[in-house]
Amino acid sequence: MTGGIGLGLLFSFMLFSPNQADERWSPNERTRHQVPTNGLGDGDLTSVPRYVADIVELESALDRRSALYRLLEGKSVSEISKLLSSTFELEPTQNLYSLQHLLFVELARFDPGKSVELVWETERVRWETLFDIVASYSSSVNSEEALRVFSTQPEPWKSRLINAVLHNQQKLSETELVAIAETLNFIKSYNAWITEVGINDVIDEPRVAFDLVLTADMSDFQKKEFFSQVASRWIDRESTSNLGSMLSLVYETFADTKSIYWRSVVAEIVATEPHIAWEQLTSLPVDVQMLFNDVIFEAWVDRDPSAAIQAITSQAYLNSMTSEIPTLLEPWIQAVSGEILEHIDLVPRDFQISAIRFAIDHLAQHVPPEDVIELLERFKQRGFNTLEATDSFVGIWSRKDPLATIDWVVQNLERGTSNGQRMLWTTMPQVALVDPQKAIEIALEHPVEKNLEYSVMAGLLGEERIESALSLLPQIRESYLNEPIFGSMASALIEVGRIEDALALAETLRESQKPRFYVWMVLPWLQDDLDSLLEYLPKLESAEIRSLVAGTILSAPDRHVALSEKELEFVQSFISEETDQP
Amino acid sequence: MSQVKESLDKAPVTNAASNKGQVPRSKRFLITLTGLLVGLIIGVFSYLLTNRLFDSEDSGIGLSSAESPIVRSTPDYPTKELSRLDWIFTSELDLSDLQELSVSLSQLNQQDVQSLIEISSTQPLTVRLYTVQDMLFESLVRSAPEQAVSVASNFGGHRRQILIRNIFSQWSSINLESALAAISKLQKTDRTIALDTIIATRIDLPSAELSSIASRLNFETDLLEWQQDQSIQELTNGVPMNAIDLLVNDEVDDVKQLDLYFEIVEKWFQVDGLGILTELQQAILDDELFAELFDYITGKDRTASLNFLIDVEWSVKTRLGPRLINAWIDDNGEEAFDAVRTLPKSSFRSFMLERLIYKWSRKAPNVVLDRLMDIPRAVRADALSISTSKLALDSPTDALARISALESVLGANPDLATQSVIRTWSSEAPTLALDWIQANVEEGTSKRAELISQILSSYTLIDPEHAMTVAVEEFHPDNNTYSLERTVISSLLSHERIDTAIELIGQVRDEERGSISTNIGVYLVKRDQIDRAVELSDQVAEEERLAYFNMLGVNLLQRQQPAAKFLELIEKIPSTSLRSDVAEIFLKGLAKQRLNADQLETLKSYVSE
Repeated sequence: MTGGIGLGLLFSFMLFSPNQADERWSPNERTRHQVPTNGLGDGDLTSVPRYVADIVELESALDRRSALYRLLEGKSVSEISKLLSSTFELEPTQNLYSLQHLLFVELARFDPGKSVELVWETERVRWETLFDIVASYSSSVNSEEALRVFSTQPEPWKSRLINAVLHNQQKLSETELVAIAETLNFIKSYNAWITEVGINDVIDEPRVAFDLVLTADMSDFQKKEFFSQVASRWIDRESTSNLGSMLSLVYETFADTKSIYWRSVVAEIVATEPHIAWEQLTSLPVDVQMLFNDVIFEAWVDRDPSAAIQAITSQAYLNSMTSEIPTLLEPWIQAVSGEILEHIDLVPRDFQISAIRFAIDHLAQHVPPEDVIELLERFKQRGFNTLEATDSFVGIWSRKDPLATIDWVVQNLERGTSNGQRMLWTTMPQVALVDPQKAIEIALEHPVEKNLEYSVMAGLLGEERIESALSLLPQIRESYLNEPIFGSMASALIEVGRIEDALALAETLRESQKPRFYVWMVLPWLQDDLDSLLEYLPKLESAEIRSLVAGTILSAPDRHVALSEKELEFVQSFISEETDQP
Repeated sequence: MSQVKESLDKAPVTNAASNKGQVPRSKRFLITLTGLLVGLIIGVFSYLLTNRLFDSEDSGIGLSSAESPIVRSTPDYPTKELSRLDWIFTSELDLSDLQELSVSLSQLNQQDVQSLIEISSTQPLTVRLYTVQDMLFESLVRSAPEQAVSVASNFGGHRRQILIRNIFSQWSSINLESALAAISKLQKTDRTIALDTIIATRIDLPSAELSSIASRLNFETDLLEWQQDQSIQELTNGVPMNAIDLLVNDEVDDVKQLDLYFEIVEKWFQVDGLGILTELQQAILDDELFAELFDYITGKDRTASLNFLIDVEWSVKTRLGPRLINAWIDDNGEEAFDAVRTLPKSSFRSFMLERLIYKWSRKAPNVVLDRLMDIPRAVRADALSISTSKLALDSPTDALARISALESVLGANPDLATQSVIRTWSSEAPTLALDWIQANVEEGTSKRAELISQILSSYTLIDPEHAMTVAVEEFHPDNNTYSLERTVISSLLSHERIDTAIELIGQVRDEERGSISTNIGVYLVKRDQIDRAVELSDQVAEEERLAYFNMLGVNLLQRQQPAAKFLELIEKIPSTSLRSDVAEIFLKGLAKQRLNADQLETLKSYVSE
């Protein structure tokens, strides 16, 4: 019987080979599947190179990998790190780079922080690749630790690394990720990732994808990025003959949103064929046309400015879209600004003055002022009204070079509007900021009625140059027109807490000027610091002045004065007790 | 031989010992047969048990990787040979396992490798899954790189990018020409990645040779883009502002270059600190892009950024200050408030306080109301007004009650807050808001007129006739600051209801009719309805007609309007003397700036001698 059992067992094991079970996996004790190879895997592993420099020389990627793994067996993290670091000393070759990738993978699995440190030591051109490797391989082992390490990196790498982890990790739930993102301060990257994942699912349904982005919790710039992605994919799939219906869909989806959103979408879908888009746009409802026409026209101007200008200056278009013309003209003027004199006749007559001004504004930013002045002169010679264009040019020039500008303005007052008054007013504050004394001297050379002293002081006070302004005060001519200067000066002093200095200004004024000075001073004071005004009210120099100030407070708009009952009584007491005013 | 003999000798002894009860031969055979059967049964059972044990161990791996939320799918191996390799997708592979995989892979054909890659794409992420996939792809690239690219395209975005990198890195080392040729068939994103990889790894390749290949294989544009990225990175080390300018002025959409912008700004910040803010704001960047970079830099230390702004030009303060505050409040309103409050007394502090209250009151109205006494008096009224207005979106009556509770706070200005709440309420339920005012606020007071003016615009859209009746009835001679009739007409005009506006003009009080008609007239001429505007002048008292046409003319001389329309209006003024007077006014003023010489001559021709 026993023998029979033994024989039975023998038979059964002969019939059902135990290998059939063993060949299924047992992680640590499986019977290895031996196969002959003609490469490094042919069993003679003792011939495998033991030095990185030798491994690099192996031709096959799989052989290099195999040899490296053999080399790494039993090595600690710090040993791998040192080994990787040591490879930076070797002559760079493509094989070395691919070997380093493998080393980064092995290191990133255990120490993402050290891996990042070592990436910084490589050439800049490799960072994208290496950071992606470090992020995706470390996320498969310990994504939370990886996120912790990566969240401390500078941008743009922080976002890149975190995005890669979020894409690759599968252990952390959304709730856990949100908590980690808030703690480690990468909620922005998290939101971007969530949107990215959502969009990937619906990218071929533009309306749904756009809505998803519109409601996403992210910055406008990030939204633009996603809109652009969706639109780009959309236009790749659609034929240009559908541009009209695409624009209609964009209108339905975006009409009530910020223009920066739909502009990027429209720009993307019309970029390659703007003239076809324009043609199809003109058959859409007027509201759609008026919303999108400038984006499409701009794209068309980029491609073909001549054809574009013809489209908007046809009589039919002018009749139906007159109010749109000035805006539409702008990109075209920019495109031809270098030859605007030659092209001005293409602009409808009613819009030529505006076109010249716009071209001059554009050129003033990019070409020397002498060239702009010459162009203005040539326009003038051709009978165009250049007064506004000149004013505008002076405004731009004065911010770049106020001293040169003022010299030109003083010699060419007749070229601007209102006998150059606007040019002077634009330039003087800028001159005051670079040379206050020169500014006041120029102001004093002009009649007081031009009010240039005020514009000098306004320039200084506008930049809180209080000391400079105070130093010029003695030179201000005595005139009713200049009295507001003292009030403004006082307000500026009060705003920085120099109340005594502000009140001392009154001493420099004649008695007849003082009431107006106080009235000028009080309104900003009560807006800025009503408590200190009420504190100083009893200390003001005379009953008459106190009454005047009290009356000014009481008559100020409700918006600025919310006096309590007690304060109201206090202020009123200066009127009833010390003067006859009601 | 002797041993054999010995054992043969022993056997009968043993049998002899047991032969005391001799068993017949046939019975012995039966016992042996039974033994064989039992043995077979035990053997089969042992085999099955072994299998079962290993199976459960295998499924145990699946369970252990149930730490992962994704359940491992049961792969469908096309051949038995391949199914023996299923261990490569389990979780505890060590380096020797990977070496073994390497050996196995060299024995598989292309189709097998491809099948394994496909199976791998459905596996849950284990610590070695990506490595295994990399090895599978390495094997496939060696025999069929085009196929590897094709298979990689089945992977999701991020993983695909890494695979594309690996494929082209390896492929280009085997056959550069064919790798580069394959790039042109890829989609843009993958193309860029592949090209970057090749250029970055084939450092032995002279740039002239690369350019020549690019020209031949038609990827010059991609190469140029790559070269530009490199030159921008080089510029970053020298003059970062030039790098920014280069990015601004290139043909590539900023959206696609955000990483480069960040990189430049980060490096620049490390050298120049917050000083870069003033330079950066001079670059001609899109607002949204600038905001992105600005928030990043200032987010490093907002308090330091706020203090930095104290010393910059006013125009810079007003541009950057609100941006700083807005982002700060989104993160931590109280911290922002404390920082602004402790700024030295200055225009900048006042400005920032205003901006802060504006944003913070909307973001966290209850917090602001709780801290109302801490808020400086200059902005306390705004704080109450904006916060309660925000709360009114949910419940106007609760917001009004909140105002009542806070009306004793010094400087809180409850009247201003009530107006805001009513305005908010009116946007949702103007009739209810009107009822509340008429029931709760004393008749004939300026407060009542002000509150009605807040709701009238919305209410007009519901019932224009009644709105005009309310406007006229609520007028009180002691309180003529508010032209309620004007509010009604303006509301109609802003909603393109011009016919209703003209119908209601007759109900407007005489003293208001001239100026309100002017509003309608301006609306008409701006919409190219000059004839109707001229007709409307009949509603205007004769002594006000000069001002009426003057205002219409001023609006037609604005930049957005064609000058011909202005001249058409003048020509259509019904009375010759009035026409002459209007033309004369314009000849002395605005027309000189806005008309060309011949147009001025036409205008002069309307002036009577």
